[in-house]
Parts: sequence; structure tokens; C-alpha cells
Amino acid sequence: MTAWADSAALVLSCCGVAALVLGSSLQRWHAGLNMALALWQAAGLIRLSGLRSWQNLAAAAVIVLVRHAVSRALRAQRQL
Amino acid sequence: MMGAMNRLISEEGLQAAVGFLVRLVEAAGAIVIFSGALLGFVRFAVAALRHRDAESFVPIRLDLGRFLALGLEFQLGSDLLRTAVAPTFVEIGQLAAVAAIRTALNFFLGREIKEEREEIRRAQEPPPPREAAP
Repeated sequence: MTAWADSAALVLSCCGVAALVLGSSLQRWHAGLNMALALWQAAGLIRLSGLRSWQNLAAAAVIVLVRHAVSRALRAQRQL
Repeated sequence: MMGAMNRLISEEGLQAAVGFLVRLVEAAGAIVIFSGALLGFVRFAVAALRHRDAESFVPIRLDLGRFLALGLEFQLGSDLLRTAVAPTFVEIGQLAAVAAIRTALNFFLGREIKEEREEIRRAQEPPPPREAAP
């Protein structure tokens, strides 16, 4: 289960990088960054299914907070 | 009575059964998160290459958020199961941490959905009529 979860998390992290590259190459870097953060968050949550440790839990919580902070900053910038 | 109950369901047997269920529910949560995230990435790539307008990305991101919240619900369920038989303080603490993450995720997701809906509604409203020049 842990190996499977690690592999799935790696695939989702790579998808996040691809979303960031795709978004920035099409001049849609806001959408790309939002999508990349969501995919990295999914990777963090999948790692919780494998080996449940305090480190994994802290990483998932930090990703949730960072994603929320960046989303708010991007929305505020869009409304200016 | 207790002796008959212990013979019928031993603690080891109960722990093995709960352990199996925990694995099952955890795997279900991981599958929901993984499939939702992959689906979201494919939809994002298609929308980025075909439409390229900012509004087309919003439902994709919100759907992905819903998948993440659902997967987290499964993980919470597996944690509840894990603490059903002789829980340790570490297991209870981790259950509390997962519940806190899930609550924060649902709260942020609900607020995002509300704000995005407001934004889409404002964008679809017709502009106010201009006053006629004298």
C-alpha cells in the first residue's frame, strides 16, 4: 500500500508540474498554478493513505494552507 | 456470557477484521483522490488547449476539490475504524489531525465555491445602461 501510494503521489506531482508548464506556456499561469497546487495537494493526501505519520500529516496540512493562501492572493490580484 | 462472547469473537480476530476493513476504506479513499486528480488534469489540459478562457478552468478546479474532500472523508472513516479496537493516543491524535485537515479543506472549498459563483454571476450580469447624452 505504501509503495503504491508513493507511486501515485509521484505521478500526481508530475501532473502538477505539467499543469504549471502548460498553463504558463499558454499565458494562463494563474489557472496553471491553481491546478498545480490542487494536484500537489492530492499527492499529499494520497501519501496519508500509505504510511500515516506526523510528518505526512503536517505536510498535507501545510499544502492545504499554502494552496488557500496562494488562491486568495491570485483572486485578489485578479480583482485589482 | 462474556466467555461465550470471547470464544465467538476473539480480540485478535476482531483486530484482523478491522485491519482488513481499514485497508479497504483507505484504498477506496486513495482511488477516489487519484482518479479525481487524474480526471481533473486531463480536463484541465483539454480546456487549456481548446477554450483558453479563465471561466472554463473554474468548474474543473472545484470538481477536483470535491474529489479531494470525498477522498478525505474515506480516510477519516478508516481512522475511525482504526480507533474502534483498543486505540492508542497516537491513533487518536492522528484521527484528530485528519478531522482538522478535512474540516479546513471543506471550509475553504465551500468558500471558494461561493466566491467563484459570485464572480461568475457578476461577469454574466449585463452592464448598467449608460445615461443618454444631452
